[in-house]
Amino acid sequence: MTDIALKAGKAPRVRRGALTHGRGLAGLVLVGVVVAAGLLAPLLTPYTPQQQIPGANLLGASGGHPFGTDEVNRDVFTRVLHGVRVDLAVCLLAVPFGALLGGLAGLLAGRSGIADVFTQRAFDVVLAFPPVILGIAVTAVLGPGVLPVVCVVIAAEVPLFGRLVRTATLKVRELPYVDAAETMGASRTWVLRKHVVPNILDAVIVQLALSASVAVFIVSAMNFIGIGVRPPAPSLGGVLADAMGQLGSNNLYAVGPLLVIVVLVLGFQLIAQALLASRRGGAR
Amino acid sequence: MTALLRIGNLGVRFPGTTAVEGVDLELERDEVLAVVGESGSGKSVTALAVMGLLPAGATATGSVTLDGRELLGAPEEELRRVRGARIALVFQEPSTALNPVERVGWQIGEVLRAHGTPRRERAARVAELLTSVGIPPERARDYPHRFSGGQKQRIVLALALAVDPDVLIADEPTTALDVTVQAEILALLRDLRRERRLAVLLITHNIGVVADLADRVAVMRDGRVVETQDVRGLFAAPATEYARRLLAAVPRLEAHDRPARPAPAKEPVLAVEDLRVDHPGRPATLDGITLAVAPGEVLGLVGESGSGKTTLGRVAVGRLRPASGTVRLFGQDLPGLSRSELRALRRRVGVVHQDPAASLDPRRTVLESITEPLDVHRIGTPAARASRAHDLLDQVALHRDHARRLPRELSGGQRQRVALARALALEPDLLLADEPTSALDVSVQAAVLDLFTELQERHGFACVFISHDLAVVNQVADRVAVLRGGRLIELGTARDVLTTPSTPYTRTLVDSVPVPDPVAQRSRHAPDLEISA
Amino acid sequence: MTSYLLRRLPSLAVVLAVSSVLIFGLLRLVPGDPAVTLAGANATPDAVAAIRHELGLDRPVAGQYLHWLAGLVTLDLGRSHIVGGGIGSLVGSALGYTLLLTASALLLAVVAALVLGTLWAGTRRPWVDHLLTGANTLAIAVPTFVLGVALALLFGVVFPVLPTGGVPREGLLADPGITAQYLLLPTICLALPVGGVLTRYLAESLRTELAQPYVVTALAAGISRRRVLVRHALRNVLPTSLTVLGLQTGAVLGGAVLIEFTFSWPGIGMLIERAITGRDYPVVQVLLMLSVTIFVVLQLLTDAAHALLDPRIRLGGTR
Repeated sequence: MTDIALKAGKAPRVRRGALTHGRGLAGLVLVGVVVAAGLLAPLLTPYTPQQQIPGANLLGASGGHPFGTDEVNRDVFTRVLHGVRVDLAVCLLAVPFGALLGGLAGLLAGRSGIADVFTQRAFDVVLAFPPVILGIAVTAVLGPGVLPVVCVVIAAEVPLFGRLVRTATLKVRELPYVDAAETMGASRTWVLRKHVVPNILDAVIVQLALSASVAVFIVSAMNFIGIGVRPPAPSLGGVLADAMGQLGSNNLYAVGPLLVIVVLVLGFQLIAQALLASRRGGAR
Repeated sequence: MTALLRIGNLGVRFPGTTAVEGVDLELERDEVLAVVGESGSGKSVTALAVMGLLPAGATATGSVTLDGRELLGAPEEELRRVRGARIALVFQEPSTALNPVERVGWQIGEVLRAHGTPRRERAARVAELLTSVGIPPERARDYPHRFSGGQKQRIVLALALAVDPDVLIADEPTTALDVTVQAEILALLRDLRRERRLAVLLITHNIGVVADLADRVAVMRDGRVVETQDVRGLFAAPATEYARRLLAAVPRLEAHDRPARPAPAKEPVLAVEDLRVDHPGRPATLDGITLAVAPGEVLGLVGESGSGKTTLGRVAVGRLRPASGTVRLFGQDLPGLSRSELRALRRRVGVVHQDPAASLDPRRTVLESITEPLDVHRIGTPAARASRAHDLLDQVALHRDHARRLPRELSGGQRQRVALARALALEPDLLLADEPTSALDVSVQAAVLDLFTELQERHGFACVFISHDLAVVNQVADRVAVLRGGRLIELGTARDVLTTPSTPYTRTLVDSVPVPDPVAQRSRHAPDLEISA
Repeated sequence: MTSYLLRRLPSLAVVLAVSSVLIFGLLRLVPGDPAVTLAGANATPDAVAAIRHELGLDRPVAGQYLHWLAGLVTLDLGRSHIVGGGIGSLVGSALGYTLLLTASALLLAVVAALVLGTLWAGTRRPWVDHLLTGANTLAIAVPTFVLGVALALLFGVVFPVLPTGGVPREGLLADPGITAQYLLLPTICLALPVGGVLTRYLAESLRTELAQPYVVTALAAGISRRRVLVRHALRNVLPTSLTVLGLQTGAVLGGAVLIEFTFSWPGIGMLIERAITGRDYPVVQVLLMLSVTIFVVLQLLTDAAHALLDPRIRLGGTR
């Protein structure tokens, strides 16, 4: 309906350019490399993650095995690459879903007093369980596997996004331009669609990048203490936990997954920081 | 003859821009030099440069000498010893100028400590200083949030003058205060200056304050001093075109003739009767308010902060429910209306807010903002809406090219014009304008007020015009309502209320407004002295 | 101030109540008969019945909940069937180790944040700023357990100078020097992310504070930059920093589990890990409840401290 208006003045994106230089670019490259390596895993190594290579017990790094081999003769590099797939799949599934759920709860909380009290208390309860502890509780019921990990990441994201969206919504609704719109007869839905959502989107996007890094942390932490993906299926945290027992024999066994986790978390953090910086710069 | 403080060819550069260039100023002992100019003229930056407190990234060139000693580029420790002890600074926002988590006595004591007053002498000195600015010394143990704005500004003055500086730089010292409080602070400044033989560098945009206090005036514009003159000389015969325009733009409280409006024949646009608004746990925000706005009439709503004028405006357009009393908008009882009926009624209402920075959605273009009311009420085709918006842009004297811009690409005055265009998009019968010009520079304010008057005459809408500035209200309003502490003190024609007020409060209010004329303003001090003597 | 704190109480009580129901429900949600699981693979029917009776599983649900809650409140926590021993004494000894670890980590984090945050906010040298920004980003980005493995690798294998796991054999109190050696690596790991978040928060809010008019007032009155930073501005950001620290409790509790697992530190984290792999549900329940209680109590404590530090709340009663 407002097509003409939109075409007449396409709002320049504040975020544009945040990821083409400096921290943003570095973060993007870090994440991109790991994602590409995960996607291309079958092409990058000749082995499968469960394949036991005869005679290759705890070998050090070499051309054939960049991260060496583990205690049951598997190629660590292959297991790490395939582990990336699991970690990223969980993040890409759970983070947006949790953000959506939390965002809706936050919008709902901003609409009525009762809903606000209810959602706020619910968030309080969830936040009282730190993610790892929550993981333990969920695993106690569901048993180890990918499902509890997804549940925990979603549960950890919902209150974060819920609170973010709630406070941002309340803040935007106090602003004179929203008051002006409401005084001239705009409905709540109009205000929500045209003013609130566009103006809180930036904050949500920054939080998405931050949440992705938190999710990588949760997933690998749960796998690390053995309450995530069931072995022998590979995961970054799982490989790292296995490596703990073999620190003396193959150094790169631990360094490999360690490096990948750090690169992923750091990459998402850098992206979030760059987005945040561009947002601040854009808002004068 | 050597000046006490001499600023020579001062330049201040920020990365990418030049804030101040080639500024020469001299301040003698026992003299008040006012630096006037609009926002962005570089007056505050000049003050910070003198203090050596420019933000990181800014560089200053030229020279600043105190008693012949160069301050620019002096080592930090030497500057620190000059600050407070020789040159002191007081600035605009008393509410944030004090540390919120420390007792005020401690904060003054910190200054004494920094300049070497021994611990055991500090308490007595703090008490003495508080007394000298009219604050009871036992309140030294209170935290800043326990004081009013005027009291805080007094404490800031005590803090600045703690170690007897020779020069006081006062940067907009009364801008954030109500007029009656402003009058008190100006009187205090006059007294302090006389007692301590202070040299004052008074930075302000308020021409009335200049007329009240200054001996000489320097007019700044775009980082340069365009004119320096004796205060009477400047007001009598400004040498430059800019100073002349600046002085002419100042709204005045004198009665001026406006064409008499036809008597309200039809029923009023807005009628409020025995209105009461409560905030739980506090005294009534509004109580016993009865007034009406006739079609095509501009009602000025004046009062100091906390008087309830904004609340009254919000009740009038149905944004706030009264506790009791009736509010009739276009003949309909507001509290009884359903949400959709209210929304339909609001089609006939426009609003303009105070803060030009926040009154437009930062993500919507000027065009989108102006067409918003039309979009909300689904009036006309998109093409028709756009052409209506262009028409409105013409009416508020903005170029059609502005349609595609975002609010941050506009100046404050331009944003208020857009807000006005948006408010007029639906051809409202009632406009609610809440301090529409108080965040604007005088010359911009004058242009916006002229535009407002012109549009009001052309469209004939009724208006509730809320302002703390009596002179502004005097310029636009037919009738004026004076509020104080939630009660209606006085209601009458603008001429009656603002020139021959019938209540003591309104008289105090009117008398507190400094007249932008040094001779007239200073003659008003005389009765003051008689009373105190 | 009392009213300020009283208004916080209902929400915290709700959190405790709802959490206790959830945690209690955990045992009921477990697929299969928990008594059978707990008794082990080849238990006699009598043994299973005994456990069922001990856990109150033969009573109505509401009665079971109240029985369980009463046990928690009176610290009569029952017996562990799988890990072995009384749950009370198991938790008690583990709690001692965890408290030592978390307290030293928090201390390290707070001291580091106070020093580095102030330095970061006050520096006018670009290289110091860049250095601290980089170090801080890393500290926040590197997950606790990843750092744990890295440090274990570095100081245990590459430069074998520090013990990389366990606790002194003679007990913690026998030789403080040895205990400190054992404590060092896990403490650093646990402190780093919390310290990083806190340092960043402190530095950013100090920078915001330094742009406040009262700072200009103080500087213009001749108070030195250093004094304004460490006395005037720092005092202003302490209340909110404390709240941020309180919110980090979750990260510390979760981090402690991971760190204890990495360094074989016999605290709550190790216990919870053993309980979960052994499916020892009563122990898991108690530990979860303990975690929630600690979280809630710390929230209340930080709120109280915040109120004490901010005169606007302490004297105002509102806000």
